[in-house]
Amino acid sequence: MQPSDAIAILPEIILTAAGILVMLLGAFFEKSERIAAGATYAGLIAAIIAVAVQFNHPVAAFGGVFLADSFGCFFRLLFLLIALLVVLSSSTYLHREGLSAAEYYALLLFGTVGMGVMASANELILVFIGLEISSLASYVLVGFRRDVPTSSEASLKYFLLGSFATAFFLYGVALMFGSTGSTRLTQINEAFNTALRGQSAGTPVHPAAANLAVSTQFPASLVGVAIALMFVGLAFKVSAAPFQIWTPDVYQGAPTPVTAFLSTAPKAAAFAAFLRIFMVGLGAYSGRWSWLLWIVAVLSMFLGNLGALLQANIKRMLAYSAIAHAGYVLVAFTTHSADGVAAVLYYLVAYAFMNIGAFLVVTHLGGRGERYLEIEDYAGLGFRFPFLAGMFSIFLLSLIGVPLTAGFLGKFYVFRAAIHGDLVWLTVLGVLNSGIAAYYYLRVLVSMYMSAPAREVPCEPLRAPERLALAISVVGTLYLGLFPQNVMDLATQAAQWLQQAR
Amino acid sequence: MVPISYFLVLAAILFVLGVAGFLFKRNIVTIFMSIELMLNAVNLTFVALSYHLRELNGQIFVFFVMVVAAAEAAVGLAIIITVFKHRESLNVDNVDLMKL
Repeated sequence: MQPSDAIAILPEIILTAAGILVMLLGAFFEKSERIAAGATYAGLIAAIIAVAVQFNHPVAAFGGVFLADSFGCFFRLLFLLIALLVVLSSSTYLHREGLSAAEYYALLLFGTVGMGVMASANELILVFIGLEISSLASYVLVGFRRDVPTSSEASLKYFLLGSFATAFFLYGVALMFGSTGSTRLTQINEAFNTALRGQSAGTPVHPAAANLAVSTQFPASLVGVAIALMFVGLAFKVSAAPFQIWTPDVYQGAPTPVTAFLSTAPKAAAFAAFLRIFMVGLGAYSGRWSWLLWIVAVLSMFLGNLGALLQANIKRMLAYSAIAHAGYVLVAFTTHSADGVAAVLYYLVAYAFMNIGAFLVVTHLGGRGERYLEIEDYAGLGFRFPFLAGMFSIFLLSLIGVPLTAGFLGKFYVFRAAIHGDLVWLTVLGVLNSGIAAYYYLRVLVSMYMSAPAREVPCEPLRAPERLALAISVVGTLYLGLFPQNVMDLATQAAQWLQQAR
Repeated sequence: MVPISYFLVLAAILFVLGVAGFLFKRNIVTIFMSIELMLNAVNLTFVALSYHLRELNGQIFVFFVMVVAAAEAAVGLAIIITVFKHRESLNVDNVDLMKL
């Protein structure tokens, strides 16, 4: 390992060290909550600085296996920001539910490490390792309320279906290794380009064209099977339909701050790996997978939005809406252009702010033992707690995609990229779905401001860390809705970097 | 010398058996074992292809997969135990607190 390699993975080293430290603090101190939180904040902020410094100095570390480029750094910054917001919004929750804070923070930190690895990996095996690091941490986080049956049930479902999907992904990796002789994304791309050039020139690929050329002993369908298997594994991780079955149950059973985390960070990480694998590694075969994305995007939007219409539980409703939002992101992905990738990145950032904000309000109103999670419990909220209701309204309006909020510009960029990519039907279906989605978000808004409370819902005042998290989420949501240029520039830069890598 | 296709077909059969076990078995531990079977099918594929392509990488990946499978088993069994404590049963059909 050279010094430059260590600098490239410095954020991950810092986070791992912080995670271990937090666990030790939890073991040795009786009242470890505050110290553990302090160490977590310190680790996250140090890691943010380490990533920010790397942003304009792309490094290919460990012989090109780990790429600390602007694409990877964009995502790592996003994960760290999400982790920071989630830590801020969980301290009160953990105290209220009597959960061990140190272990919780350590798991969050380890999960973030895995995601950072996924976003920067140029090697399928490293993607797999990152995926597992983040997944194992999130399986445990989902079941963190051990005494609650729904929590452990959610954890079991997430674990079984998650490992099932990972096995598919891994089988795809193995077959890709078989057909190209490499698991390095850039080398896979080279191999495909060589093979395609050979075909178009009319000369068959030479069987002995080193290991890299697509081996003629394997039928081309093997590549197709490998792509399909990897697609299934990743589509599962981004909770795209028809692989979304686990999402509502897991999001409902998990502790609410963990749901906020799951619906943003691991999903963004899966999209990062998805983009890198399909745009860089399999870019030459885009004709073979873009129609798959088309179908999955449409299905996710419809299943997510129609499912959300039927829900009475707010967490479950937001879980279905998360499926729909994955669908919008997939619309932009289907274009497989630099425009589309930039739209994906922008949307993921916008979604992170508004969704964490919404879940923060849900966490706070849920009360001890998460008792008040029905949409009925939100009736009359606008009169009793005007501030919280106002904040929640901003997040819901942003999730609908009302102008001046982050959600609007996110959708705007997504659909603009789709139109530029000649995906007219997909755009029409997407816009139609935004219309359907408005209904169930508005239902919550209407019940908050226009109906009498169904039952007495107690609500404690907000603590300082929660206020800070709420303020960051609101400012982020409005900032991205009013001044998109800075973030969009970064997203475009990252997207172009990804295009160049091909 | 056994041709490579034999290994690949065997691995594919193992993988499909794993998938079938995952879908049709009702005991949580058996389902978990089915997942392990799928991972081992992948391992077999890796080793066979690595031998065929004369690329040592494939064999190293198997170690990674094995380590990850071990970590997964540790976490998975812990989760299964917490579920068992609540329900006194290992049948997946009983794990149905949350439904549409």
